[in-house]
Amino acid sequence: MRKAYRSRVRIYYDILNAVLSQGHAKITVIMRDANLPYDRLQKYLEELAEKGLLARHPDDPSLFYVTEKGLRFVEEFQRFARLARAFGLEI
Amino acid sequence: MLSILLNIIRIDVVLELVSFAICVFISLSFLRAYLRLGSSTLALLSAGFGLMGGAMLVRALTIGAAFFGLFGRELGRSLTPYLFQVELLYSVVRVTAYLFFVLAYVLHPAFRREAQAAVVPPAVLLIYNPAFELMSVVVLAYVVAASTYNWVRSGSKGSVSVAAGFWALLLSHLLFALTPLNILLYFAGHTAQLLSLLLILWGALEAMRG
Repeated sequence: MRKAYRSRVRIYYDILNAVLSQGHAKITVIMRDANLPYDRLQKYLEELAEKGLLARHPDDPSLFYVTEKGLRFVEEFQRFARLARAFGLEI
Repeated sequence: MLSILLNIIRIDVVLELVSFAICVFISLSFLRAYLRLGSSTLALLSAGFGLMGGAMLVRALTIGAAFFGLFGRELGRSLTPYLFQVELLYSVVRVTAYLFFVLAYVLHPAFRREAQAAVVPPAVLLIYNPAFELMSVVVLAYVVAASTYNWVRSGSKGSVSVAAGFWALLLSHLLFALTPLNILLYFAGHTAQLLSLLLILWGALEAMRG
């Protein structure tokens, strides 16, 4: 069965959600929960950090956490995803 | 006779302007969502409702100007080509708006495999006036089927209002198409169009409230 297409914004959401579900998360956990290979995940983590949605923990750089801006992004994504679903569409 | 015609046109213009306002509101809601998230699904819906609203505004203003303003004294044969061009432009833009909806459903369906099996492909090659209303019905049939399927399948919040809205929009085009039988059908069409936009707006607000 063919894999469903995921938009960039959907992948951002899946990564942030994976981190949020743990509070702080290591890259291996994010890989598993967001269903992404290491090289692609690295690229997205850099993008999310540049956008200020995700950051490395100051005490343990192997851990990631979602910033305030990231939390707002997740809330807005969920709100607009519900809107798209009402139309039978995916974001 | 002229006063009856002008009253009909007046009601037509007012209803079109109300529909325009609702379309703009829906379009701006999707545009705001698109600017926040950058999702092409939201951009397509915003563009579709924006085009619908734009077409309604241009039609209402030009028809209004033709009958009550700039050309009021020259009402008659000289206006016919002008009105025909306005109606043609309106029809093409409305069908284009519906094609944006179809594109959204083709590119980003919530249920990709099942939707492709269940919904008839859109008849995109039928874009030409004067059968605009019937063409709209053909194009909208795809959107109606997809949104109804979504409601039945997911039952997500707002989906019933959205599906009912697209059904009402389809009905409005059927009523417009049957106008030669009775002028009242024209107003019934406008009412159905207004109702459709209110239902879609309600569905969108309900979904965003969560």
